[in-house]
Order: sequence, then C-alpha cells, then structure tokens
Amino acid sequence: MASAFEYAPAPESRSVVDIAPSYGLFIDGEFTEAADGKVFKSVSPSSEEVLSEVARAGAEDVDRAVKAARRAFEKWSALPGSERAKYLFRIARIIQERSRELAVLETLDNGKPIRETRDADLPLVAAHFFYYAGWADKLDHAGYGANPRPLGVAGQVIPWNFPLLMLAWKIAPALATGNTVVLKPAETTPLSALFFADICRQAGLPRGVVNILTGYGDAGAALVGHPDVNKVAFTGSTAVGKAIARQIAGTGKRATLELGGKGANIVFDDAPVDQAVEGIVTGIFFNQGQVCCAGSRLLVQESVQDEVLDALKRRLSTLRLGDPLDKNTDIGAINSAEQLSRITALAETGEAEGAERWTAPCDLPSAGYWFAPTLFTNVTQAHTVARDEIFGPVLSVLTFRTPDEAVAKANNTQYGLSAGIWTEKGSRILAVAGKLRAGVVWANTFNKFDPTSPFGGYKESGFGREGGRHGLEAYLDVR
Amino acid sequence: MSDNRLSVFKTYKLYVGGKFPRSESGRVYEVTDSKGRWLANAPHSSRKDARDAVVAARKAFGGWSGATAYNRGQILYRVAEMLEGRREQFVREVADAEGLSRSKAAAVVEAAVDRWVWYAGWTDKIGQIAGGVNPVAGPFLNLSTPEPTGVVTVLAPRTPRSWAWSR
Repeated sequence: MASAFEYAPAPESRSVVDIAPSYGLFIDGEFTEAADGKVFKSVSPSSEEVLSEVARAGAEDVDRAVKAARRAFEKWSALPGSERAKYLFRIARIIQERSRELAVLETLDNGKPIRETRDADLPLVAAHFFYYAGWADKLDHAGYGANPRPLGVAGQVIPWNFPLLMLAWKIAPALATGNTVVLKPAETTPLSALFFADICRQAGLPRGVVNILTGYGDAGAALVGHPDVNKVAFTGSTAVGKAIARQIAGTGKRATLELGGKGANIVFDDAPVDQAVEGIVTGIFFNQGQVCCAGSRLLVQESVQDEVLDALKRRLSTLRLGDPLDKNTDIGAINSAEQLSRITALAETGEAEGAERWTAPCDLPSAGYWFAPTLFTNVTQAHTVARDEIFGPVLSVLTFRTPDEAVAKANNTQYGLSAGIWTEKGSRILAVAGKLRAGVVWANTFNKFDPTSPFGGYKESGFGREGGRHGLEAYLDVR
Repeated sequence: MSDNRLSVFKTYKLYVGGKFPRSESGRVYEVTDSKGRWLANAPHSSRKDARDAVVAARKAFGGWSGATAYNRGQILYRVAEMLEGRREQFVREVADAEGLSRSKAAAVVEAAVDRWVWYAGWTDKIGQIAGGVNPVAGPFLNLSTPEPTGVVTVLAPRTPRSWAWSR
C-alpha cells in the first residue's frame, strides 16, 4: 500500500544527550579504567557510527567490583529500610527528570525507535524504581516472614534488548531488599548503564552499593563464578542460562534466570479482528521482535485465518521502518550485525523447510542493521521457525480448529514465557489461560508491563520471578 | 533583613475544594504559643464550612480513588518533597505553636515527611497484600479487592506532641 501522504522527517534532537568519547568501569563510586587497559567500541546499530569507547572488564576488575560491593554491603544492609527507600525514590525521580536524555541515548545505542524508549522503556524504568522504593521499608509485610534478610552481593548480567529496563528490573529489587550489586550490561549496549552510574552519584548513593562493569561474556562468566557473589540474576539466552546453571551448581548461590521464549498468540474466531491485529503487531514487532516474551507464534483459528492474515498484511504494509530517532518510526534497527545474521539464517531455514515467506514492502536504509517485518505461513509445528526463538521481526503463523488443539499447540514448545488469548468470551480466557504453561498470559492485549506484576518463565524460559511482591523473594534469604 | 523592617503576617485560611476560603462564619479564634502569647488568628469554622468540606471531598472521591495507584503514590511523594522544601517554615511553626525546642520540632517535621514517603509506597502494594484470588471450591472465579472507605473525617488531637514523634 503506497502511502498517499509522505511523512516529513521528525527526528528527536540528539543534542539532549552528551556522550563522552570514552567511559571507564564504575567501581566503588568511581569511574576507572580496566586493569589491563582493554577497551571496546559501542556502535549505533542504525548507522554503524561509533558512539563511544568503553572499558572492557576482565577477571581482575570483577574481583575489584565484588570486593567493593562486599565492603558496602554491611552498612547498606544495616540502614533502616526507610532510608534505603529514600535513595531509591531519589533515583526514580532523577530518572524521570533525565528521561528524554536517557531515551535518546538508549535509541542511539540500541537502535529501537524513540517512540518506544520515550513512551515505554523510560516510564517503566522510573516506575520500577518507585515501586521497589516503596517496598524497602515494608519487607515485613511482603509475606516472607518478619525482618527478612538480604542475600549479600548480587551479580547481575543483563541483555541488550531493553538495556535500562533490565537494569531497573535487576537493581531496584536488589537494593530495596538491602543487597549490593555488580551489574554487567551487554557488550552492544553499555552506555545507558554508565549513565545510570552517574545517576547513582547524583542521588548520593553510598560508594560500592552499585558497581557497573562493561564487557563481554568472559566478564559475565567471571562475575557469575566469583566465590563472593551470593546471588546470580541473568536475563538472556537459554544456552547461556544453562551454562550459568551448570557453573553455579553446588555453590549455594541463589539464582534467577529469565531466558528465551516462543510465545503463542492465540486468536479465536470471535476475537475483534482489528484489535487482534494490533495486538499481533505489538506482540512480535515491538522492539523489532527482540523481546524474550514476544508473541512469535500466531495461532489463528482456521475459520478466520484469511480475514486475520489479510488485515495483518495490510497493517504491516503501513509500518514505518527507518531512523530510530524519528518520532514516526515504528520499526528500528536490529541491535547488531551478529543478531541480524542469526535472524537472516533462521528465516532462510524457514523457506528451505517449505514455509511460505511474506515480507512487508519497505526500503531498508543502506547503513546499519535492518530486517523488514516478515511472516511465515504454512508453518507446521515441526518447522524450525515454529520451534526456535528467532529474536527478530519474524512471525510464524499456525492454525487450529478447537480450543484444545490451540492449547496443545501453544504448549508444544521447550519454552514457557508468554502467551496471548484473543476472544470476546471471558470464560474462554480463564479456561485457556489456566491450561497454558506460560509465566505471563495476556488476554486481548499483549506485551503489557507493570512493576507491580511479576514476570518469569516456565520450562526452559527460566525460573524465578521479577517484578511485583513476588520479585522480592529472589533477593531475600527465605530458605 | 533590617531591624526596621516590619514583617508580613500570614492570614491562615481554610482549605476546601482546592480553594483557600475564610470561614463562612466570619469568625476567627486566637492561636497562642505555650506561654499564652498571640501567634495568629485561625478561622473558626462553622457547621456550614464542615458541610462544604464534606461535599467537596465527596465530589473529589471518584477522581481520586479512580486514579491509578502509581499516580496516587507519585502525588503523595510530591507532598513529601514539598514538605521537605518548606521544612524551615514548618519547624518554626511547630516549635512556636507546640512549645517544642527547635530540635524536637525538627524531629516532628522530619517524621511527617518520612510518613508521607512511607504511604507513597503503600498505594500500589495494599491491593496485593490485602486482596487476591480466593481458591473457591467450584467452577467460578472469586477475587477480593480492597476498596477505599469513602470520605474520611479526621480529628487532630489538641496536643499533638504526644503522638507525632513517638513512632
């Protein structure tokens, strides 16, 4: 569908954010170089422009950071909860104040549209700190016994798809419960975590309570394996999650793992089609599909398949792909060349295995990493594109005839993170939701998040919950 | 602040429906310090003032109770921020009116600020602690959700110092 009206470019200004040419590690309240002096570059995935050069942490830096966190732990955990709460409220407020700066920074470093960082990521980040700030002096009321104690030093490793939001999910509950933190952001998106370090300083957070180590998987492995880390929190791929589980087995370290997913979005024949189409689009094309709880499998009832797919293709043809800083952009850049090649390879496998590929008609920019919204029809449950997490803007469409068949197909996966149900019938929502083996089930909506709502997986999507009252348990000594 | 300058007194008024009216009665009473010295005139509210205030509270109830818990928490926290910003004024007023030392008055004000922060954090948690899905033994869904009482009347004690900073 050619657009009758062209949009004028509406880019958000970059001038709101000042990115330094280089950054150090944030250890014990100070920015410092890596012990061996190593650095790496952070690249903007939409232009391949080098944004900054950051220190690359090694084992020695991990040890320094864990020692700083350990030193800070005694005082921090002994503070009255009401005082810890006030630090977290300060952080939440500073994030709100600096939200436009952080949104632009996140868009530059990650490649996701400014509309998402501005309207989803940043408001949720601030809300998460507000929510857990309120818990810090109310832990007695959380249902984990009187005066529940923190675990100690938390080693946290987060992914690149929601850099600052994943940081908030990890750091806010850890600090509220009295733990201290060493966090490693992903190597392709280190910048917002370093800006967060500056926010900790503005908030007057005591030294060593939060330490940020930028680096690669080797730093993550060293952090997870450090003998003085009491708690490991990881969000990322199932393969790395399994490796972490093996690495810490028998050490007594507590762990929460939030891993991959292959969410089923189930559309029944009585669903309002236009609404469902919007939900399908949000489910798999939000953040270019680089979402662990993405609704990457569409299960549509056979009788409405044509209607839904026609409406879906029409809608996908209107999505605007391009400059992530443009306020009209719907689809931004893929986070890295590596991720793009993974998505491309899996899509090719889909074609080779006989699924029918449809790609939204849109021009891809010449620089940067891009993948047009794509869907596969004629997909069976045996196809790779129906089984493996693609982590990109690729939707696999399957059909079903009865609710039982929908449930069986939705559950036929190694994962169990999310699912969606689209129907006008309330009783069907409750009946189907109860049978789905998924940590989050959305009804007549998708990808809705709130700090009060726990999130986490079944099966190979991991264990432990983040968010809500339930999210406190992962950081308290409840054994 | 020259010694010759005459300071400006504050006219204390009611706060009803977002406005600051004088009492409908046209009357005031004298507020004195612990030694009986005059501090200010406070409006002497009438039954009609009380009715107006309840009507205003009832009118605001739907909007306030319908706001998201997050939003209410933000507003309570904002009150804490504003109170902290006017700390000096409140310490002075508490010290004068209640006959407290400066440090005790400061403790009262600080406790008040922290109390606002404490409840700012409760708005979005009370539902999860006091409510939930009840595991009924039948094919039906049963939820409990705590709901606000409505319009609440609060009568402050004559001598607040006994409770204000005891916590």
